[in-house]
Amino acid sequence: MTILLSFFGAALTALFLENIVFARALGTSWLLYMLKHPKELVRYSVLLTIITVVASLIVYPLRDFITGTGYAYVLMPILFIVCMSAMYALIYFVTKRFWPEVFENIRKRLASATFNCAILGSLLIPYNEGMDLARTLGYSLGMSVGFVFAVVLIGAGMERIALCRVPKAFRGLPVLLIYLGLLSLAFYGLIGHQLPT
Amino acid sequence: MKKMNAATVSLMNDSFRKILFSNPVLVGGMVVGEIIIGATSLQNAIALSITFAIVTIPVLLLAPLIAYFVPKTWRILCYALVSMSMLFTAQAAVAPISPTIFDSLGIYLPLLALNTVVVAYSRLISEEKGVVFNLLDGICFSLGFLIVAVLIGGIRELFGSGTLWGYEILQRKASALKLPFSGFLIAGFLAAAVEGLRIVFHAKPYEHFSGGKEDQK
Repeated sequence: MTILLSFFGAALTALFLENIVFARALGTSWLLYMLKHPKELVRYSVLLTIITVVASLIVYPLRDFITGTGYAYVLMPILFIVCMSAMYALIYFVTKRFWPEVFENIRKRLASATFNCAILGSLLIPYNEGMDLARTLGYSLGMSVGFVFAVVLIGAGMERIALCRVPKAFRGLPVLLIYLGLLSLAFYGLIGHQLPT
Repeated sequence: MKKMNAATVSLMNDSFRKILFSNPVLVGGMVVGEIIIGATSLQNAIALSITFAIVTIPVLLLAPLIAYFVPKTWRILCYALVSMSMLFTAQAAVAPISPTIFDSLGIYLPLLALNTVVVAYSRLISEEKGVVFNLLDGICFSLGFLIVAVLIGGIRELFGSGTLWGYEILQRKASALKLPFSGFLIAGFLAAAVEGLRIVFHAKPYEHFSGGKEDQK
């Protein structure tokens, strides 16, 4: 029961309190891409979730070997990238061998979905915060679902902004960044923070 | 000779136009997260810029070579490993800036190893270009990143902490400027300023990587 509570607690924290986009600003470049290609959101988010959760599971027992060396700050990101590369190779070969149709669907997006800041961040944050396995997995799941949540929320907002008369200089990326800033402020207030004085 | 000079001048003009009108952060929307969260002070901004340059330029330079020898599927692994190995050098280079630099930047320094220029731009654009073009690209992207990071970091440190490079300048401060939403808002207004200048000067934006282009491949 405690493990389940830790899992869901970490997942909800990553989803709302420390949303990958609004609080951490990770994966913003891919968010811009997803807004231009909404049809790919489901495919991309499923890939992102699988890679994040499985990579966290693989990385968790290996972290202890690096922690004791005294060079964790330098070596840990390398370990994570090696694990991400292994995930990339694993998914590539398994889908190509056993599910050729799935492979054709994900082939173009596999590299982008595997090697991005969102996944590296979702491996680095639980390590930095000293989370146990249940919380690490919950956090990773929450981060990937939080990314999809952010894309859907921003996509809906941008549709409304597209109907407004936005000044020429603010069209496109500027208004999106300002909208992201306002949503980030809203989330900051929503979870009970007060602005520092 | 004249033709060659004209071509070189055109290449230089085209490359240096990228610093402002095709800024990787404010126009391309690349490497936004690291600046929004990491650039809360001038020291952080400089550390991020040095790391970005050290990590990105070698990848762009090696991209044509890697593309020649390595099959398309596995090139991304090479780019990630090259940038990750350069992270050692970058960490050694930024360490003298401040004893607390790694603590204040946290995960955002290692995250630069997988920035969008390394992961996407190198695969979509740099592989097909020559070494000179990629070198100029890397320098311009790094300068563009430096300008944005210094502006955002400077504004947030000056008005958020009342200091500049650690020296006290202002008595009053608005600490909220150090929060992520302020980074988004300042970046948004800077992006609008660049777009406004681009409209005034009738400059065409540089063709950054796009999903459409990736789909064609």
